Amino acid sequence: MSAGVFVIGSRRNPFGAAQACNDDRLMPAVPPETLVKSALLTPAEQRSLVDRIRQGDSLAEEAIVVRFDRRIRALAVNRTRDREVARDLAQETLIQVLSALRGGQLRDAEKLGAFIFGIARNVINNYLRSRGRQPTEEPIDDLQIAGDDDSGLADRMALVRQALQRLDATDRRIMSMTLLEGWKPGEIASTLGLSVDVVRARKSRALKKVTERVQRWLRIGS
Amino acid sequence: MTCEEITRNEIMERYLLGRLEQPVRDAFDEHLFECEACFERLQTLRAVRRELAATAGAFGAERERAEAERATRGWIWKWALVPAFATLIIVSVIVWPRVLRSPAQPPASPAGQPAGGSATASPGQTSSGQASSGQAPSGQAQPSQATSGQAPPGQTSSGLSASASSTNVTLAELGRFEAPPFTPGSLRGSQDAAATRFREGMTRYRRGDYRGAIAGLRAAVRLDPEAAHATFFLGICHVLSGQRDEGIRALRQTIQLGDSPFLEEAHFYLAKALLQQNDPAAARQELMRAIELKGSLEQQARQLLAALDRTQARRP
Repeated sequence: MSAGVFVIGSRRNPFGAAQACNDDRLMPAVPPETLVKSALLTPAEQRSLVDRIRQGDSLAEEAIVVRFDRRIRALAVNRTRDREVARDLAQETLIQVLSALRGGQLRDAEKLGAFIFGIARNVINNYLRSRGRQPTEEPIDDLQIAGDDDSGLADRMALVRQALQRLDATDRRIMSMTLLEGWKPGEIASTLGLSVDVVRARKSRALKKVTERVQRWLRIGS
Repeated sequence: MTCEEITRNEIMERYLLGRLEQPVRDAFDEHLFECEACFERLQTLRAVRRELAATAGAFGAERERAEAERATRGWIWKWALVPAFATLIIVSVIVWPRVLRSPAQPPASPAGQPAGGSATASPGQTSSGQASSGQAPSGQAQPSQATSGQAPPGQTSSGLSASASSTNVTLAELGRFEAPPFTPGSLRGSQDAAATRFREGMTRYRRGDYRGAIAGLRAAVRLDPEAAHATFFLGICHVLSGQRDEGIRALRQTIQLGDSPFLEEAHFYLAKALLQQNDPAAARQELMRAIELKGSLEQQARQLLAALDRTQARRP
């Protein structure tokens, strides 16, 4: 498992910490996959990081950067359409985040993700306002896939290619019409001669198959 | 916003298409800061869109090419008619009357019949398998079939010799294969002991020292029994070193690990190893499974299956 990737639930221990105890009374009442939600950081980890940063722990600061840099850059690319600008904005955001955390501005450590998101959004909006632009709502240009570095992107593309090859041709077509051309299920159904329910079910199944397969293979690789 | 809501309301797809209202988009963006699974899933969906767009582009180009070819054929056909008509006219006006006037001739003996449809397929038949492009995942092998167009002379990419498509081929010949190429992926995160031993083994593998690679790969598998890349290449090395039983065991282990990037290759090369062991029935099953996966080796698996069927049909 690569550093910085918290996936609670692995192949060996699909239920994460919940499986550590044998007492059924302590088992979660809801399905583990709903309960855990693959959180970025557990509440205890968030509290620990925030405390350590307040005490000047540079390793804790580095951990924040490692965990949130991709997300901030992804958000910035999404809204500015500019990878270089996104990098600068991500850096600016992290500087503000660390400064705020050092100053104890975060009262509830369990809201760390939301806190960082809030700062990132403000930094990006300020930039856009200074350029006289509005946050865009146009479809995202996938040529600027954010978050992955070049090697990560190539890895993911190769795995996606393999996963798509294993799909049924009609499922691939449904995914294409949905994700590329933005067709609604009803439009796809009438074009392909299928019912709307069948289109929805096939689309959902195909998306799930591809994303789960790629995620599983990425975890195998890491 | 919860993951369930995101799935139920197709939030992610609408986000990619830019169809979310701002408050919902903000809520989703915020969720991504708190949920690793959704963030990774979104990255994968972006990659899916990109790949679908690339394929759609190729399809569009293909469609244009097909239309251009049809137009060209139409053009050629049109102009081919001109000399045909001219010939017809000449025959009608000049030759045919002379034929009618000449004395009866005995019929000419028929020309030698052409040979029956040769059972030999065109040599140099290439596989439709495409070498995977892009870099391998970190610390992970690039599973790749023998690359198309690079087969040794007289041999196809699937290892079928030019005559293998004929009926005169043994199972051992069908089972022969070259080492699948390996491209080391870029490294991310820390290198654990299993990854280190894997790389040691694959360094030898790339030099063609398959027997020498076994120790490193075996160690990698011991350290990480679920490393499908390690079990796969261990199986390949065993088979290429003449240790078929061990190779078959390792390839079966790869398959038992379930859905991995090596599943299809494991079925395909296991089939090859079983052919070398003179077990066509089991090889057949593995080829069927490889075909069912509809991956990049599907075409090669179909060709090999057809060749196997021809070989079996020849037997008394």
